[in-house]
This record gives sequence, structure tokens and C-alpha cells, in this order.
Amino acid sequence: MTFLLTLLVLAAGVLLTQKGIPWLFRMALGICGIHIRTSPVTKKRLRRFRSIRRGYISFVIVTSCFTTSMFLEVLVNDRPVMIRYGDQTAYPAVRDLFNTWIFFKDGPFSTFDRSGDFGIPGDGPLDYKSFGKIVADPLGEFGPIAEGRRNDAKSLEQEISDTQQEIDELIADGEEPEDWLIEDLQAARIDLQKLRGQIAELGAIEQMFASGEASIIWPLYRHGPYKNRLDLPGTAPHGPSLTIPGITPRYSSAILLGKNEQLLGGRPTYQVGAVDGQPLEKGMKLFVIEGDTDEGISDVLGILLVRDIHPDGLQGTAEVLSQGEGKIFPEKAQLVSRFLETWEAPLGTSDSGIDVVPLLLYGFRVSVGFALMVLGAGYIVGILAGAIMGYYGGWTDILLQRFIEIWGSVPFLFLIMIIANIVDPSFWMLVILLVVLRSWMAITYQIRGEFYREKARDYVQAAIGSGVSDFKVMIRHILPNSMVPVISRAPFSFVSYISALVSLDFLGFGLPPTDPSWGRLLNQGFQFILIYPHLVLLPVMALAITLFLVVLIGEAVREAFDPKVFSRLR
Amino acid sequence: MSGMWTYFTRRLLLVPVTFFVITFIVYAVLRITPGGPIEQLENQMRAAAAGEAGGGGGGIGGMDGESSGLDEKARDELKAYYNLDQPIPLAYLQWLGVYPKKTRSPVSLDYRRGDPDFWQQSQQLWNEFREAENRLQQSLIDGELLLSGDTILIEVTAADRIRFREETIEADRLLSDGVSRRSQLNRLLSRLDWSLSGSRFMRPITDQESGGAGITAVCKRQLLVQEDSYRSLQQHLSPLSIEANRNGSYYHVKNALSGILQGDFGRSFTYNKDALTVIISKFPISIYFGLIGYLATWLVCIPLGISKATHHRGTFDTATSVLVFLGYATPGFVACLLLLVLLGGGSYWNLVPLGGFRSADWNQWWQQGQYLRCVIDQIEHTLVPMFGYLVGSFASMTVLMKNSLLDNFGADYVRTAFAKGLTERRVIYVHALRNSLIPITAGIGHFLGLLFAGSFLIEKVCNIPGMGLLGYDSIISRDYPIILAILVIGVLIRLTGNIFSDLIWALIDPRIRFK
Repeated sequence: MTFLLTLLVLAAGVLLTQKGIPWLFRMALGICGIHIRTSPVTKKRLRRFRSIRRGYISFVIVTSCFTTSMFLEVLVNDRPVMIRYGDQTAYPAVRDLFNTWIFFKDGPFSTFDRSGDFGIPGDGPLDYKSFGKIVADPLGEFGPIAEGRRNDAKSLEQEISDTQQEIDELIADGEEPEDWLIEDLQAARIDLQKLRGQIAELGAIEQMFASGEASIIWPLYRHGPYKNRLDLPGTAPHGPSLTIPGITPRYSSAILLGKNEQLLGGRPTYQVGAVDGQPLEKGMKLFVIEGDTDEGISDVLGILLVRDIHPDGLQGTAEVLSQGEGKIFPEKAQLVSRFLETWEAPLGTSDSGIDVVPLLLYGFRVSVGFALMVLGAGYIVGILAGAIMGYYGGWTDILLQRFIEIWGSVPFLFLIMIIANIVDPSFWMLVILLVVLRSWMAITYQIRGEFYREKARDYVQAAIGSGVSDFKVMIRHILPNSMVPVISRAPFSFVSYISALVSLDFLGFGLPPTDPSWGRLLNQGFQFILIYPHLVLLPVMALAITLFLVVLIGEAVREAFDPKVFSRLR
Repeated sequence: MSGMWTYFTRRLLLVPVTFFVITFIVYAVLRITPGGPIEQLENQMRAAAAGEAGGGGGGIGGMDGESSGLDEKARDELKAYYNLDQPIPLAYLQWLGVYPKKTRSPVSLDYRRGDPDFWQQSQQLWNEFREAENRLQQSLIDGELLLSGDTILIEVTAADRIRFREETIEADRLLSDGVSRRSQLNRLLSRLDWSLSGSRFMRPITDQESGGAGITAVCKRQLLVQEDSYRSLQQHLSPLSIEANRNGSYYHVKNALSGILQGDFGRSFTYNKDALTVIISKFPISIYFGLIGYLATWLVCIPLGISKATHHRGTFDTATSVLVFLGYATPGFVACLLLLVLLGGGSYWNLVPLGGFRSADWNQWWQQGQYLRCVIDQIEHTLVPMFGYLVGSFASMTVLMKNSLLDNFGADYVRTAFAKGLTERRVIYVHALRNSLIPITAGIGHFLGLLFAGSFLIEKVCNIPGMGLLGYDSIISRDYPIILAILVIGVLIRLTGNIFSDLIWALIDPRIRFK
């Protein structure tokens, strides 16, 4: 079902990117009164680009993935898209989406939902996960509590009737009942009243949930890129649970035998035993789970680390790496050596326990967005500088040339590292640094050459002669005719900017530590290189595939826009 | 031909300008940004104090017992030592070596033995000064006064502060607000004619306050005596341009040009060695990997480029194109990381060591004559970084080779060669190939650069103690002399390398004309 939905979303993304956005763009321009006339040459080039299949398909894939990734908050998030309880409705993930795109985090929408408004007593923020659990199984969640309360009420009723009987007997005997007896009776009556009220309230809430008045819609993938998967600090990373040969750690289970007296490094230790004759291993990490592996795991109580093993390998001592707050390890609790497929972290977690799937996806968005920003801003500055140099020539040209020559020799990675070592750069600061220090120079010379050549042409001279302003000549006449080298270069520049971001993040000089990024994931993989290969292999795959597709686009664009005629010898 | 030479002369003339601009930018960035060596030192001391490591960061005189790190005097001394007390442009000129810088070097005992009479006399003067100072100290203690520079101060203790109540309330408030308000506090204090040392307030004493002539008069007289004897000691030493500090050590003082133009790159803070020496000690590793990476790239890319060109649009070409694209899409250090995961003995195969230039026991093996073992060990350590360097330039080199060969296949002279009946093999390998190698050969101009620079990233991943890792570490620890020395050498090599490769190109290809 989720798989089908994912396909549907991707299809929608493709449709939106290939048809919707161009249409919207044209509409917007049309409203502004601008009509783009595609020249026959450009049409021919575009046709040629489409005819190069691998390049065109890569183009469709990359652009569609990026447009889809703009909606990641409602697709991959640990907050639901919508929750409803009676006439209360909230859209937490949609709020996240707005925050990202309109207010760049911490916007006015970053409020929490009060749990009291959604049927769970209390004023704190609503725990969406437990809300979801209740929606899925209201009777199962409320049943035990209501049952308990009902039993309490029964015993109270019993007590009241007993006391009443005693008082009645005393009165019948003509004696005055003692004061405390009457007080007790009154207190018990008040308690009963309260309890009945609570039961009624609980019943009402249960009724609300059971009758479908409450509902929750989750995103396609229920974990976000910011939150620890388990509230068990200091135990991550965890290996993937999806069976990928070579990456997924071996699965084995064990059983908790009992608590030991001795402490290890100030931490309690437990005796663990092997199950089904699978021998234990030293250094094995074991999750203490609640529930049964066959029937579904309801919670992870803590994590043990096997320290010593009996010679027969069937018993061992394990120290507690982490124990959930207020959680007690029950006798004979099941232990498993990794996340299970039924209780998924398909691609494992990072070293701060964050699910790798959202990290990779959000990382894709950040990387591609970053490269696009740098490319765009660099092009604007570069084209402007190149145009001025080529159009005006003379001293402007010479001075700017010298400036570029000098500026281009500044070791920019070195300088960015020095700056980033002192001020933690934000996304925008990194973009600006990269544009100012490097990216604008990449195309300036080419644009300058093009402008130089085009300016000598008759049509430009005619335009100048008929009194068109310099700016208009540059933008309307020359620029459209000198975009070819720029366009055919763009994908390759794009690749280098993504690489630059990954390198900076890897070294720890890049994006702020809370932002999801491939480079930081690689760095974590580097730290755990012998134990958790998934932290290297997965981001490398994501990086290589993305950049490979972009290079394919680049090849196709070059073929289409700037074809070379080669002799084939024979 | 003469046009070409003017072109190159002009470019050579531009090198110094570029060099000065770049070094000035980086120098200024380093100086402007907070967190310099002194802050680093203070952080270390604070960390040591917090951990009660005891004696951490020792060896620097004038340490204050407080947790705030250094006292102002020690800080000033350090600032002077690191040349941070000068304004940026001046400090830059001094660093360059075009403006004189005061340098001090200790006077050796041998030097002193050369002229015993002179040194006996100066020792006597020193003793006089010391005595005067002791006397002064004694009377200061008696009078509960303090000395700072050449003024006598009264310490405003907690009890006194009640006397200066209105003035001190604001000072106390500013002090308790912490370091961020330090400048405001200083401004207030200077307005009140007070100064602050550590957490003590002080102000110059007036006769009125000290109760007339009494103890202050004595102190002032002794202060004059002390200053006099110190001055006579300095005067005695000045003909030899030697100075004595107040602790009794003698220094040769030179106010001379001493900067990178004179070959003085300064001392590294972390290694406590001359920065240039540290860098030169990394040359062997850089040269090793530079050469190996270069050779590997050539050996792979040229043959591959040739066969791709001869089989243009064939199956082989398409198949290897995928490889080329993948190579272009993977940064070198990522390839290294991938190899280390796969071959480093973690979850998969154990074929290569996890990093390092050599095994730790390499030198021992060499001395024991286990040469084969040494060679195998070296090769094992080389494979992964070499692959990284190869991936870094593999794609662009191969495509360059292929395209330049294809260009030549279309040229008239190739058609002519075919027309006169030469074999295909001869046309390709003798006629076309020689001309196609020109753009690649021109890269030789950057040879020097390759020898110097190791990649930050590959060296970090493979843990090779080369130039890149040195640069990375020095940025992390803010080791200015090394950062700047690496910058200077790197920039010079790259600038000349650019010109050099153009020159080579012009020399081997007569069709190229530079104007």
C-alpha cells in the first residue's frame, strides 16, 4: 500500500515537473505580458536533447526527484500530515512545510499541538505516536485503564454500602454513630463521584476514538531527519534492518536471564542466555524489547552490550548501555541483535540515532538546492561581469581581467575552512562564500568572449545605432545569443558544487550540525568505518547516483547545444 | 616571438601583485577573526584548570592563578611575541619583511665569556637595581601600597570600596556581568583614573590620601633610585644592542627586517619549530604521492583515451564512458572511503591497512634488512590513496586525451597521411598521437604543484601525515605561521606553475601564439 502510494507520489512529481511547472511558468509570464518565442535553433537543440535518451531520462529523474523533495515534509516526517479529534483539526507536517519554504524554520507555524485538545489529558505537547496508537486501537489502549477504574469504583461502592450498613445498624441500636465514620462515608462518596466522572470522561474519549471521530494521517515514511529514533542516548548508530546483503548486521536473538550483583564501570549488568543454540558473541549489541518478535514489538526498553561469554558460548554477562527512562527489564525478556524488519529502520540510523532514510532524502534536497543556488547566483554575477567586460572592453576589461586573475588564485577551500573554523556558517552564508570566492568566475571569461564576438556583429551595431540603451542591447540582443557555452557547462559546475558541499561537510566546516547532510553522514561512517559500513555505503551510493545522472545530463546537453563533428577515420 | 616574451614578462610581473593581494587577504582574515593563538592558549589553560590536570600549559611566565587565564601583562607579552600588538597593515609588512621588526634572542654564556669585565660590571649594575627594587618593595609592603610601571598605586580593597561607594557600584555591576562588558568597565575605570588587575581595583595615590609626606615620599624617592639604576644598566648594555629584562635575562635586540622575504616564516605554535622546517619535513610524502598519482593517471588515462578515440561510439567507448562518468561523479576522497570500507578489514575483505603512510615498525624492519617486507608494506599503504588521486583526475584526463585525439583525426594532415598510403596504426600512433599529447604535456608545468600539495581530504581519510593533513591540522589549531607558510609556498608554486605550463605549451606547439 505504502509502496503504491510512493509510486503515485513519484508519478505526480514527474507530471508536475515535466508538465505542470512549465505550464505555470508560461502562465505567469503570460499574465506579466511576456511571451517567449523559442527560436527555431533552440527548438532544434531541445529536440536533439530529447533524442539523447539517457540524458533526457536522467534529466526527468533528477528534476522530478528535486521537485518531489520540495514536499518532503509531508512525505517523510515524524509528524503526521493531519490529526483530527472531534472538531479539532491540526496539520503538523503541513506547518513544517510552510515553515521551511516561507519562513525558513522557526516561523510562526512552529507551534505544538496541546495534548488536552486531542483527548489526551494534560497541557504538554501532543505525542503523535501515542495518539496514533490510540486511533489504531482505542479499546486496546483504553480498555485496561477503564477496567482498572471500574474495579476501583466497585470496591468503593462496596466500602460505602458496608459503612452505610454499619451506621444503619448503630442507629437501629439507638446509639449515636461516631463522627469519623460519617466523615469517612462522605469522603468515600465524594471519591466515588470523582471516579464515576473520570470513568464517564474516559468513556466519552473512548467513544470519540472508537466511533471514528478521531483520525490521523501519517506521511509515507514516519520518521524525520531531526529526531532520535529511540530515546536511548549513547547507543547509536544502529545497522539497517532491511535485508541488504553485506550491509545488514547478522540477526540473532537471546534471552534475559536475570540481574547480576556485580557492577561494570558503575553500570548494572545482566546475565543473558543464547536461544536456539545460536552462540553469543563478545561486543554484541542487544535490544531489550517489550512484546514478542512474532507478534510485533511495542517498545524498546534498553540496550545491552555483551562483555563476557562463558566458554560454551551459551551464556554471558552484558552491561547496560542505555535504559529507557522509568523502564524496567522484565524477566525472560526477549533480546534481539538489531532493528527488525517488522519494526523498521530500513537503512539504519546515524550516530545520533536519526533514521538514515530521511537523512538521505533531505540531504538530497539540501545538496541539490545548494548547488542550484550557487549556480544561479554565480551565473547572475558572472554573466554581469562578463557582459560588462566584453561589451565595454578597454580599461574596464583589463582591470577586471587582472582582478579575476588575482581573485582566482585565492585558495578558496583553504579560506572557507579558515572562516568556517571560527563562525559556524549557515546554508546561506556558505552559498554566498562559494559564489563570492569561486563560482562567479567560472563562466565570466566565456561570456566575455561571446560578448566580444557578438558585439562586432551587424545586428548589434544596428541596435546600438537605432538608439537602444546599452543595458537593453546586452540583455535582449546579445545575451540570448551567447548562452550556449554557459548552458552546456552548467551540469558540470553543478557536480563540482555538490562535491564542494560534501567535502566541507565531511571536514566539519559545512552546514550547521542539525541540518541533514551527506557529508556529515560520510564523516560518521568514517568514524565507525569498521563496524557500520552502511553509514559510508549509503551516502556514497546516493552521491554517486545523483552526480552520475547529472553528468549524463551534462553530456547530453553538450551534445545537443554544442555538437562536435568528429571524423571517424574510416 | 618577441610578442610572446613580452606576454610572459607581463604575466611574471603580475605574480608579485597577485601574491601580495592573496597573502594580505588571508593574513587579514586570520587576524580579524577571533580565536587566535592567545585565546587557544587560554582555552587550554582553562581546560587544564577545570580538569585539575596541574601545570597544564606551563612554561609561560606571568600566569595568573585565576581561571580567566592570563593576566594583562602576560597577555601583552604574548601579543608582542606573536606580533599581534601591531595594526594589521603594519604587521603584514613586518611579516613580509619590508618593515623592521623587533626580534630578541637570548645572550649565550659563551658570548658573555668573551668580555668578562664588561659582564661583571653589568652584573654589578643589575645587583644595584635589584637592591633598589627590594628596598622599594619592602617600603611598599609596609605602606600597603602597590607599584605599577612608574606610579605608586593604592589598592582599593573591599573595605575601601565603601569609601568610594557611588563610583564602585557601577564598576562592581559591570564586573559581575562578565567579560562581555569588559570594555565598558575599562572605560569607566579609566574615567575614574583607576585600573584593574585581576580582580583588584587600583588608583594612583595622592599625597593627600596617604596622609602627607610620610611613606609615599620614601617610596617615590626609592622609585626614582630604582628607575635610575635600571636605566644605567640599559645604558651600559646599549652599545652592544643588548637589553636586560626585569628578571635578569639578557637579550640581543635587533630591529631588523625579518619576514618571509628574508626566509623567516616564524615559529610554529604547535610544533615549536621553524614553520619552513615543518613544511619541508612533509616534502618526501608529498613528492611520493604526487609522483605516484601522476604516473598512475598517465598510465591509465592516455591508453584509455586513445582506445576510446579509436573506437569512438563503439561498444568499448560506451562501456568505458560509464566508468568515466562515475569517476567524474565521485570525489577522490569518497572513493578512498569506499575502498577502506570494502577492503579495510571491517565488514568485508581485509586486504589493505586502514591508513597511515607506513606501518609503525617500518624503520625497524628496514634496519633489520627485511626489505621485501618493507616494500610490500609500502605498496599496501599506497594503494588506497593512489586510487583516490587517480579518481580525482581520471575522468577529465581521459576525456581530454580522447577529444584531442579526435580533433586531430579530423585534421587535414591525418587525411594526407592516409592518402599517401600509411597504415592506420602508423597514422594514429606516430602522426596524430604526438600532436594530441600536447595539451596533456602542458600540464607538466604544474609538476611542482603536484609535488607540494596533498589533498586535505584524501590525507585525512587515509591518515597520511602529509602536506594536506598539516594544513588541515594547522587551521584547526590556528597555527598562523604554518597556515601562512603553506599559503605562501602553495600560491607561489601555483602562480609560477600556470605560467610555466603555458610557456611549455608555447614552446612545444608552434601553432600557439600568446599575445
